[in-house]
Amino acid sequence: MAPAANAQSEVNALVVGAGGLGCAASLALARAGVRRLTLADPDSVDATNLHRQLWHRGSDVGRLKVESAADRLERAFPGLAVARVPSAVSAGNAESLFRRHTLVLDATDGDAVKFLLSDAAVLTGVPLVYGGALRLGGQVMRVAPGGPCLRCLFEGPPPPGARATCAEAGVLGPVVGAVGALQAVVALSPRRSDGIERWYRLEGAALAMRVVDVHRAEDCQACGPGRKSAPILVDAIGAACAR
Amino acid sequence: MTLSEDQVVRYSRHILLSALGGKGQERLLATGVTLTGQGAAQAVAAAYLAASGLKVSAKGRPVAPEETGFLLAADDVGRPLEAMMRAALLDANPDALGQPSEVGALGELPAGFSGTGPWVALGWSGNRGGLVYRGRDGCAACFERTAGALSNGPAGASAVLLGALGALAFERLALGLSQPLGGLWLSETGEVEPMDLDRCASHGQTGR
Amino acid sequence: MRPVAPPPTDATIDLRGQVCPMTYVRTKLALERLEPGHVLEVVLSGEEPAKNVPRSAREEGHEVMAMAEAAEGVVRLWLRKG
Repeated sequence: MAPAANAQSEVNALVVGAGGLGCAASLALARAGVRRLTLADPDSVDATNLHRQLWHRGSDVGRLKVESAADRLERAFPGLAVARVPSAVSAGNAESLFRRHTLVLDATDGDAVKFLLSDAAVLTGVPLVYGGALRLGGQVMRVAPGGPCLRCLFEGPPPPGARATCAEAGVLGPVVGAVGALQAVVALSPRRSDGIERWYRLEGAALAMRVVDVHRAEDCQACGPGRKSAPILVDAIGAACAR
Repeated sequence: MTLSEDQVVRYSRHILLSALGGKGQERLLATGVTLTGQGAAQAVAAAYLAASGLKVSAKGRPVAPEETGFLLAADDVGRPLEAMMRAALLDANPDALGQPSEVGALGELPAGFSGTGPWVALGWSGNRGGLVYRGRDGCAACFERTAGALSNGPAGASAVLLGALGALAFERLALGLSQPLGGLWLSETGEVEPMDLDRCASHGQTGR
Repeated sequence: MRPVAPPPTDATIDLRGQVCPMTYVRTKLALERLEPGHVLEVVLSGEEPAKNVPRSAREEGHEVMAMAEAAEGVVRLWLRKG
């Protein structure tokens, strides 16, 4: 059966990160019939990526991830146009990047940048789907106007070094793939009229999922109705371990 | 079997997992999977299994249009699946080629299942995805009855999710981390729920 | 770090120059090759590995027996397999 090309042809998606989440998410968007996609990632392919970042192959080690991913996406889906942004999304470029797209997927693996992306979604009103995967589990939630943002759930990123041990860099390939694909499924699903979003938690060890309704926190400093101003985008520093 | 230096690096993020370690990774490398059906979800599952180091084999038919993705390009459609997969795996992960010590089956329905397992069936009931899995100690008849309710289906974003979950289910069985028999439903909006199994006559409602 | 008498070891790996998380990957593989109760000596360089390898080993149920500075920026670590 052919992908439902017509339903998604107006989407112009930004996938932040061409790693484990971004590879799966971009394949899922393309399979759903999305025709325009931007991949943003400053990193090059490393041999330790290959077990979970499936657009990249052994022969791509050392190449920019956005190049190897975009090349293979376009070869698999000739109707798809992939823009390559070989740099990190930061406080300096997040707003303009968001405003040039209709949908953003957070396929990054740092704590700090996830809050920057959530703030950028609140600031611009462009829907974002957050995702994260670690060890045998992962989680996904949409951030869209009127609904909860990441700061409704967490005050902010943990301080650098607070949690990262080497063992936390471990992750099972298909778990990352499922979380990335779930981000695309959630991104393309219609929103509920009450603004409530779902927090999806995949438990790979049990092959099960928990889904919890999330409301916007009235006192959220980023998106709550009583906030003083729109969020100001700030880069945070961090990342103890090279993933 | 001892992991080579290249394998230690390539699978380092698996080795770090408490549930795997080097022994678990060696087990994945010794396990094979034969693709017995056709579809987008099966193609995604095959790609993840190959990346994890399992030996993936397929034969006997041309590449279908909905199978393009990580391993197969649009140019491969209509050409022999076995040769196209082989060429892709040689570049993506040569560990996925070769002779495994044990072989299971994974198929997007309609598909056949034989041998001891692991078996993973992927399929659809309308737009709802379904996954049924069985290890060597699970009842083959219960598996076949339950999987029999599923058929072929869409090839969109949900198929990528179903395929990744299929690879996860297969690896859990290969690693001995799974119950011997089970299934799940995948809703159109991405929720995963347990599937009630359709028990065979000898297992009734109480068998495993 | 106080000086310690090095415990008798069953195996040694030299991971000087290696970075996180490969340091723990190699430590873990070396531990897997030992019998429970046997002792692995790990030689590490740099601050991150010296902090992370013992933490990760403890997390996975191994005993951190002793740690000693061998030279400028080089640490010797003794782990008993759990």
